[in-house]
Amino acid sequence: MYSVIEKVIFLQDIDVFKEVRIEDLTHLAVIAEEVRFLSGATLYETNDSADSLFLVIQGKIRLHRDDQEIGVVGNREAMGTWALFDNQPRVATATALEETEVLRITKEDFYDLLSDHVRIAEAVLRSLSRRLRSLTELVKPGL
Amino acid sequence: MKVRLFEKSIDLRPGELKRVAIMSAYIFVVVASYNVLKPMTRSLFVSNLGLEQLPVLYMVLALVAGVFVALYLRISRRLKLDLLIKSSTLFLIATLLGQRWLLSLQIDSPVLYYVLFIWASIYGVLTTTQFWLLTNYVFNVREAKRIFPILTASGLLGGILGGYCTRILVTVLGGTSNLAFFCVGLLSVAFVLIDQAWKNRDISLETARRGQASQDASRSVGLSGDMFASIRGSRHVLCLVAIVALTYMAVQIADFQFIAFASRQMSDTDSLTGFLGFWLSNLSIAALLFQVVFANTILQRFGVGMTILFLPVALALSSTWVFLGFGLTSILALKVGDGAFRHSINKVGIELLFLPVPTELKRKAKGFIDMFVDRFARGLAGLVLLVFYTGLGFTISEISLLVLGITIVWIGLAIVINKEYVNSFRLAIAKRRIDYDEIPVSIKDEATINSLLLSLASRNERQVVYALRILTSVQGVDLKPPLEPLLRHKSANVRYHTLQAVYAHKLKGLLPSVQPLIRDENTDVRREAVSFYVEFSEQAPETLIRKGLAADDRHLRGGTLQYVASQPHLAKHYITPEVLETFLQGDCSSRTEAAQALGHPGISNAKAYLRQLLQDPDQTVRQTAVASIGQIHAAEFLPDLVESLADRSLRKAARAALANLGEEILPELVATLSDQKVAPAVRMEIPRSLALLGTQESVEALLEKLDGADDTLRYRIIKALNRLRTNYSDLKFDTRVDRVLLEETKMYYQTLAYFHLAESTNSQQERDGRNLLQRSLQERLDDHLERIFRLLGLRYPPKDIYNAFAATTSATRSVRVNAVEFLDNTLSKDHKSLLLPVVDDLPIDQVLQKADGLIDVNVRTQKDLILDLLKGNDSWLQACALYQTWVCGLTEELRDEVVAAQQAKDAIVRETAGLVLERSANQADEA
Repeated sequence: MYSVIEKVIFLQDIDVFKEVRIEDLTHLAVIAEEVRFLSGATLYETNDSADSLFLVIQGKIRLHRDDQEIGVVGNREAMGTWALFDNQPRVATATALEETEVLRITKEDFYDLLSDHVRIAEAVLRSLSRRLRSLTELVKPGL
Repeated sequence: MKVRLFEKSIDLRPGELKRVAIMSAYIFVVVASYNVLKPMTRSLFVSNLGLEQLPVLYMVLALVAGVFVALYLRISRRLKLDLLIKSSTLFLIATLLGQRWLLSLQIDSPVLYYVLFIWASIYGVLTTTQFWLLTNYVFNVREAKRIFPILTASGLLGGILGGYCTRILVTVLGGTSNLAFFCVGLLSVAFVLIDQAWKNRDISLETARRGQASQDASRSVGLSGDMFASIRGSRHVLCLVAIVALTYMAVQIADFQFIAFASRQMSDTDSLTGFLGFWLSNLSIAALLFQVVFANTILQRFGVGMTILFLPVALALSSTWVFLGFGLTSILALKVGDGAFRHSINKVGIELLFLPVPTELKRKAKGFIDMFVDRFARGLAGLVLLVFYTGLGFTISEISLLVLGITIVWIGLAIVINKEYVNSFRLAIAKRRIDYDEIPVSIKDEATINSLLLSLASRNERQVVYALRILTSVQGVDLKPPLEPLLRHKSANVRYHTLQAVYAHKLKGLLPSVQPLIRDENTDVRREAVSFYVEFSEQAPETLIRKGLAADDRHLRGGTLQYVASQPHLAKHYITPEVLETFLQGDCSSRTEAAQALGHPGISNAKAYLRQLLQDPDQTVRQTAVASIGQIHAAEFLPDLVESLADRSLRKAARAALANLGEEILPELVATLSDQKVAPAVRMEIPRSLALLGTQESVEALLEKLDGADDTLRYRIIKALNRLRTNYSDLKFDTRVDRVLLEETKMYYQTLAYFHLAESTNSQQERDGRNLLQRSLQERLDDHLERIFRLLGLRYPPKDIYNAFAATTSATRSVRVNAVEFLDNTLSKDHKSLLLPVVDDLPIDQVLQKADGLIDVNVRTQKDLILDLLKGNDSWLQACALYQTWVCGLTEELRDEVVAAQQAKDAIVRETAGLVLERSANQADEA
């Protein structure tokens, strides 16, 4: 069982929360639920509705479509960030490669939180716009 | 019925007649009294001191009037408007009696006549300024545009009466000095009218006016370098200012010639008084006739360019005539030219030329003209007369050459400025730079109107609305063809403003096109459409209203309800409990209609219905009810409004409603802010609500509450003070701000010292813990810096300080350097020594050296740092510090403090203390 302050330490590394004040991360820490998956367990499957963000605390998760591997998510890495912002289904299946501990934030809890904490919403928007700008910069040279 | 017909004939809306009658009578008596005093003091001066003293008087007058206006403005900011105007009027009555007494003593001193002349000039400025100030409280902007011409005409009629009375009364009352009694009588009537006007004012305007008045005051206060620089930067404005200055000079010299002529014709004081009064009235009649008969035609036919040439050309021609043949006819031609053109087409022309100027610059330029150009030009005219008439011995007719020279330069400038006008205007419309609420005249110029009509075809909805709002005040153009298609525009906002323009222009022919809009989806459109339909339809209004309120179509019923509610005399009759119940029993849009209607005065039992609607399950209904409470100033709802601040969906409406209740609620708001039992969500909203009141008392209350406020509340209070500073620039922020600034800066330095310590002495092995504390301290530093700059914004121009703050936090070094340079030149010596190290690009060591004496230097080790943070009242930093004890392996040394922290109020602190003790115990076991 992790304390709030430990969860804050994990959450501060997630890109979309980089602009959130560290003190405000405590609110996110409260809604971040610890979940443990045994080796081989499936976190979600392709075309499932995307309703949560996951942050791996310890362990490894394989992302794949059928047998085709897309990538492996390890310690302190997040997956499903965009699930918080759109209603698209999962594009891959996530399977634990070993016993894995994750923090899960559900979309419902996340929006509840944003409606009460405008400052967090502002910071998340700043992160998203920063990411959008950097993508635009990448596209520019090819234009 | 007769009253309604009369109201319609002079374009008055229901409920306006009484206010218009009072204000018309007020300006009538005030101008009449001034037009008695003006010839009286002039004749006394010239008869007793001779013409030679007049140029000197003009110069003295310029100086004294300037000092007086500055003093008056200062006093006016401390008094409520009604008190100010009433006490000034009583003061003027007393001075009139004092003047009569002085004259009865038959003191033969030149000072007396100087004083009387100057006093009469101040009397003129003061009474008319006060009248227009009060007018702004009695009428709203839309009413003002329709009503001001009526008031101006009343003033002119007062002027005519005053002048003629002077001629008759100077004989009847037994001499010039007794005219003062007549003026006392007129001013006494004015005093009663002021009282009545204040009682009948539109109370809902007060909150808005406070901000406006404050801006007006700040506009008139002081001649800043910024003002000069802005005006110098615009050729257009510079030309306008020069034209205004030349106008004042030429007019003053022409006035001198007129008095000189009169004093030669009339040997004794009483005859001269009568002569001046008589001709003053004749000139007023000429001005009135010209304004009524020719002004519109000239503006429509010739446009701005030619319009502004009428006055200088008339003065140039009549001056030539005076030079060639000095006599009554030529000198009257000079004065008639001035009287007829200056206050009619020339004034309108100058206002139109000001239209394309950005609002802020326009305010500065007009403030500059009121404060400086007017008096400087008149004083300069005095100096010119002193040199040429007194010094070089020019005759009165030769002086005409001076006027001629001035008018030639003036004509040249008018031609130059006109060349740029149309393009500037088109650009201003495209950029929506013209503030339609500030257009003081009816636009009649063809080129200007064509630019506006072109904008109606724009694809940009906002531009169409913008042009419509300006066109609402345009006269003499057939707007039916361009407005008709806009009634079917897809945008409700465009339809709404089109209806307003259609109503303003009384375009009855558009009735068939308006009819479908009474069932429009949009509430505002429906209300305007019903309003127009009831007003201009052939059917009796009573029948239409009854049918509308009983209609099956809910849109038509709602539109009729809103229209009836907006007319107090109709609301009393038609909005019965039965009618309201039909809305209250309906769906949420019906209940919203009811809530909105209850925001108008005149509906019986409105408060009980509003209380019921506050509990409505629908959010929109509750929001509308809260807004309506503010509109009807229902102070008994104060606790409900305060409570609503905690509800995000009602917060905005509740804040506005609280502001509408006015400054009387300030004590209750302050008490709520101090009450620890009140929910934090409510308390945090109080500073912003206080800021909306816009009074010095709200500043005082907020400054007082800064002491002892926690960081979040402190930030909210400072932010509220910033809003007050920006929106109400006449408010005072005294040295108490400096004390808070010093405290804030000390906290910044202390936090910087912690940050430095956390950075420099930490081991590399535990990256997470170090990052946590450092990032938290960095965020605290950012907070302190923002608050420091916000506090500076209370003492220096807020915009400049905001820019400096943005530059200070820029990633580009050169931008930061410029910001430091700016602050170095702007801040006072004390502020500089305190704050420059904060923003300068110096290593932390050096910054802390400069802060020596301001902070506790005993914090030197990691252990000191943690102990200090644990002792502080920042619970998040306490939690970080606790975690740091484990990260740095200091848990055993600080065991007592960590154990004590398990009893802390804050849950995260308690949890972190437990975690640290548990982890340390585990480590010990493993070891």
